[in-house]
Amino acid sequence: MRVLHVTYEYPPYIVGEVSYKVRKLVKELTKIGVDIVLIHPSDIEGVWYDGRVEIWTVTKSLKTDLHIVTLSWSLSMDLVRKISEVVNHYRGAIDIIHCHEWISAISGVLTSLAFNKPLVISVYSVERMRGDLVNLISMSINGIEKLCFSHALYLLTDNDTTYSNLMNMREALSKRTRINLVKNAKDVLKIYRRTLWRWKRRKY
Amino acid sequence: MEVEETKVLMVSWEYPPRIVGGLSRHVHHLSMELEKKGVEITILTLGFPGVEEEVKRGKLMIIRENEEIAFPNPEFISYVYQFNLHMFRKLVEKRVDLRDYDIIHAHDWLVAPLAIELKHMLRKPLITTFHSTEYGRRRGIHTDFQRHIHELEWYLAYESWKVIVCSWYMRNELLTTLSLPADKIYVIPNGVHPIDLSKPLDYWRVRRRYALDWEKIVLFVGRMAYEKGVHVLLNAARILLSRRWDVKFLIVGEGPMRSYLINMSRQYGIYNKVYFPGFVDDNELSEIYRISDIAVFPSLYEPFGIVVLEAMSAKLPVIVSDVGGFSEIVQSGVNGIKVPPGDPVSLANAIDYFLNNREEARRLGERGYRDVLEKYTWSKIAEKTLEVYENTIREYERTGWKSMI
Repeated sequence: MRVLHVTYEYPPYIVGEVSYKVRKLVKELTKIGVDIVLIHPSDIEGVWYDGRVEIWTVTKSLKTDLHIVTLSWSLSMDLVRKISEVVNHYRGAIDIIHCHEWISAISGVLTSLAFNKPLVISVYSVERMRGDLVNLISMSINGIEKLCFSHALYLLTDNDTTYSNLMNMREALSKRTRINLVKNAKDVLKIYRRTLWRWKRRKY
Repeated sequence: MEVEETKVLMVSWEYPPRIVGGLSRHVHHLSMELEKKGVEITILTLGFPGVEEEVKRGKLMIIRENEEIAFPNPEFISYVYQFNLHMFRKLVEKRVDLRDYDIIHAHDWLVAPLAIELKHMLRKPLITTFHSTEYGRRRGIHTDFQRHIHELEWYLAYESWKVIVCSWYMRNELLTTLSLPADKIYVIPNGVHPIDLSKPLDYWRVRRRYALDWEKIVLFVGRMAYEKGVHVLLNAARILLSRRWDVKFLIVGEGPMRSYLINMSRQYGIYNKVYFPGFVDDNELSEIYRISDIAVFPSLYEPFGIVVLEAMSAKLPVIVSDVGGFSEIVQSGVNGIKVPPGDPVSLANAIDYFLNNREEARRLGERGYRDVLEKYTWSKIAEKTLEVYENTIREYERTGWKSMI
């Protein structure tokens, strides 16, 4: 099984805790037999290995952003470019696209539609926990989250607060999206297997 | 590859009945003519609720995303990104086989995100028509908002296999502001559907709506925006009206400066000699062209200037400012008169010259009409566009950059 991970941050590009969580997860996944290819934004483009994790870096083409929303949209163009390169490199042999957080999820939605691959999104927090949902930036992030989450077969989270918030959002998501609390790589592997099983039998 | 086999995915944020500016008509006429030449075209665009989502006419298919706003956006750029994503979802929803297309043809930065993403996901060549640039529209880049659009334009141009512009002036603008290599740019002018001069017209009835019988009508058509130079025309009108009183200025169009310009004509004491009818529909506009005596376009910035072609197609003698696309369409003393941009004295003199030399004005009007028929029909524009498609496909086929899936 080969899974393509897409993340906004990965060591040494650290914005917050997510980078460490993603690194821990992908390294554990490789230990239990999952082939991992990971894409993250960086200052240079290239391919390197972190243990058995194959990492492709992508640079951001647009330098001026008005705020986090335009940053996420413009970054998505570059992530889509790199995801397409990786999928072509493996001649389509990518089983699942797994995005981390809403910023990288936009590219996941586009490429899962274009390449007909199932989408899994890891969510570490949601906008209703971070923002006020009153100002336009916060409302926009909330909208992007709902749109992207509705495309995923599974939303994975590692904490109870996010899990309960996601469950509260459930009404706004599509019926196919399932929400799961995962504690380690083995839980994630189980989800991957279920994802592939559901994807093969899909009626959508 | 034969023309009959070429399949194009054209992406534009406007297409009739959604009309924001001239882009909508451009895409409409170009796609119709390309289809007549055997090209299979899918137009992916925005609509609005109530408009047909999918239309098929011969080899032309139109797919519209009608509900493009799903959640609030902080500003226009985020809205643009959002509707680009929705347009792609609509395309997938319609189960169109994306691998079939030979070319992706985008129009302007408003569809840049989708065009760039499609190029990489499909591994097909992207061609972009730039109708204007942010740098040109704003006369420089002054804010982060403008810079983001400017960078998007740069990225779109960078990712495009070939770039089409409507004038040599625009070509220079792209060379300098977007740092494009010259061999990537093709200059193909805009086309125009000539005004139908054979259509019955109650000349005096129409004319009396706008002017007295003894008044000569000097026509302007365009958006009431600074770069269109209507304020220069009002200055010229004041100068001319101090010499002669048998002129009426008919200023057709809407825009942010309209009330300012109306006030300006009041302050100049020429309000009864300037008529602002506002927005008029296509039928009324062609009647206005036919009852006018002279057409004047004093723009300060003009990437192409399709209005001057419309005026020429009605056999009107034209006066334009020597700027942008106008400089390339009009040759002074051959098919019109060019005046320096922002110079009301020269403009007044040129209008006066045409009014005093009716035979010369008629001769230049006739020549302008012939030029339009020879150079600017949509059929000719489509032929040149097809050449760009064919060159691009030939080059693409020689590369190893293909979809491996």
